[in-house]
Amino acid sequence: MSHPTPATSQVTAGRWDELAEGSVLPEVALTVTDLTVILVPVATWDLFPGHHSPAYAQAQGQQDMYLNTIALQGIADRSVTDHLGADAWVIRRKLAMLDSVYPGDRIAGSALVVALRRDATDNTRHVEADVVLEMSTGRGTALRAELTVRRYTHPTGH
Amino acid sequence: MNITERAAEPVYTSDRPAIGTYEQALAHIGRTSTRYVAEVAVSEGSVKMFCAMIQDPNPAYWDREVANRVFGGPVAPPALVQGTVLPLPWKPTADQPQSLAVFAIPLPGRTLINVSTEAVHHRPFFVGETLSCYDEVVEISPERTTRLGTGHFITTVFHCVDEAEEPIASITNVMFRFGAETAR
Repeated sequence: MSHPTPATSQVTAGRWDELAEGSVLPEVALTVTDLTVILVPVATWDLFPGHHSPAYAQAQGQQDMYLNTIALQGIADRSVTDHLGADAWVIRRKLAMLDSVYPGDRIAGSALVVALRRDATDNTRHVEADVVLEMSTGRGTALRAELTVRRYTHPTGH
Repeated sequence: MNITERAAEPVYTSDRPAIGTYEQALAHIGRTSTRYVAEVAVSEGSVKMFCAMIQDPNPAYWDREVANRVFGGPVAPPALVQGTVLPLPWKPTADQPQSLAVFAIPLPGRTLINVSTEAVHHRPFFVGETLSCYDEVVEISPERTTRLGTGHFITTVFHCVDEAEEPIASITNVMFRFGAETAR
């Protein structure tokens, strides 16, 4: 069994000041292996057999076992958090799953900023952005998402 | 160890949902499951394993100092929230089986797949918190045919709450129940 490949995108914190409507964030990609999918029940306790049994998945009409919704949500979130840094907090995520993601797939996509809201009195700390995201595999579009990400400000003032 | 007998009530799960007719299913619209308390608190191990699975390099999940500085504590990825309240496959006692309303809907389809989901995260959640969840049935479509087969779309709202029953996340989910034969 193969091991996951290294992360394909770098964390470059603090890009909030550069954000603008129309900004396209760098691509996020994940090469999915057998191990990636087998980690679904380990990491999320999702024991639905489509996520660990190729035979069950094939009886469903799938080509192999596939990633679950929780994993796809996390991959979608990476499209913004990888580039905006540790204080990027996803507060809303709408995800349409158009095709399953199997071992052997490389899923990749880039987020496009479609709306940006800055606080007039502190426009570097209080920032919120809406992005749209489409991620594809070699077969075509796997998911479409809309996310709202906020620069998190700890209530104690951090 | 106090071993008790398993509950007599059927417990429906993702791989064994209730079977019935669309007409029977319609009576489930508006039903809400009982609240289920997670077996264990959110752990640092769960957070790191989830991030390893999706290769999430966010330092908020890998560096305790960063998490403390930004979030005031060891924060967990928002996407993991449903993964903190799913049940164990076996326990020695039958004290608290998870029985979500979505799987108790009687429909002909014996298997299922998620189609879409919309999550609203009300606040960050943290390592050490024990979350609870319940779900409510919102809508069940008439029969539809997709590339996977014939079945019904079910819309539910899944609520995750903290120990004070304050909301952490609300997740509207659309699932397709399909297939006349059990997928095995």
